Amino acid sequence: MTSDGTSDALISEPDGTPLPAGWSVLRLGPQPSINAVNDPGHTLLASGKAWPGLFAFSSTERIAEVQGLKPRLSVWAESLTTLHQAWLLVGGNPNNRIALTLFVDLVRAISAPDMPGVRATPRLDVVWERAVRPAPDGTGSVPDDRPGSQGHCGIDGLCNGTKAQKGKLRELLAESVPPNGLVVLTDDQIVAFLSKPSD
Amino acid sequence: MNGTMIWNLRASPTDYTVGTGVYRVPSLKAASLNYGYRDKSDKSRDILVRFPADEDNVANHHAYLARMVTEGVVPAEISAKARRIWESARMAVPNLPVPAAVAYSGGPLHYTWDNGHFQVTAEIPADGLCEWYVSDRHSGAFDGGDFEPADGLPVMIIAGLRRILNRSSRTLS
Repeated sequence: MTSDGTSDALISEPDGTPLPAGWSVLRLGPQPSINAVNDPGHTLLASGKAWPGLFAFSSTERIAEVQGLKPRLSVWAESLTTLHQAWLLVGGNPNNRIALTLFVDLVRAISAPDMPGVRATPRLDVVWERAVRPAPDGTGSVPDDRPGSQGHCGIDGLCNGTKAQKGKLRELLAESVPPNGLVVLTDDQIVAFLSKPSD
Repeated sequence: MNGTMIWNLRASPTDYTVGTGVYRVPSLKAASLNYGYRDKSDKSRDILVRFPADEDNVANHHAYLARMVTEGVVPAEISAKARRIWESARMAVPNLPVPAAVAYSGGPLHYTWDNGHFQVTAEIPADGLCEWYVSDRHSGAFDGGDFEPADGLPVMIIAGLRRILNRSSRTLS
């Protein structure tokens, strides 16, 4: 859905095309430590706010970054991919316990400030990205056509800047998650996801 | 906690009810606290007070790191590096709370300390250097870089972690 409540249908476009303004995307993150959820010392987490670790690149994305490929951070257009579908598409891994909502317009407002001798980074963007999955023979990847895959997008620009600026981008990304935009999946939800086919 | 000493709370990371008699801790936010007091010769002393929940938090964190390995979420190398970073941080900043941790399948594992004013993060991959990031939301200052846990924590991380415990301290420069 759009952040302003309009209901025009969202249609997937070619890889690299920016999403229209006004839409929201879903980011799945892994299982936090017990402390992250229950320890009142972690005031941000206890209050349901996101934190930068939820926007780290996966091991595969890190390898791509080392190779100079500038990977995007995987997200899903909420109007095209349900939480259940996204959870299955990223592997149906019980370790994925965090669901975050991000508004495209807020993400696009993010850039890391300049530093001594270093320019500010370009603003982040949210673009369409063809979903892929590992090839059955273990070599490379193939297009993923499972239900909900048409909603796959990527947050572009997280590889720009210095290490400090990259950290800043993730800090600002976490702060852009709206109130109630972070959901911790329960054991019951995980069991339900595993027991039912994707809708 | 019960006691009759007159405590002089120092470097409180949060608001605590302090007085003579019964001490209440309405919101436990630190692993332990340093209390300052004066002895019979009026000499300033410090005493480290550990709360039971503190050790529970630490034990929970260690169990989490172990569980992430036994459940196959991250390789043992990541857990070992995380443990090393946590122990180094705890040694450098004795009252430090356990970090919020999040582990991706295959890595990395990500640590966050955040008191609303300062934020310190460490990203711990299976291979290669770890990354650190320190941010002061009030001044807008931030910094980051790489580090090897076996070589100890960068000075900027330790400085940032000290400020996690005392949000009223000087801002990052």
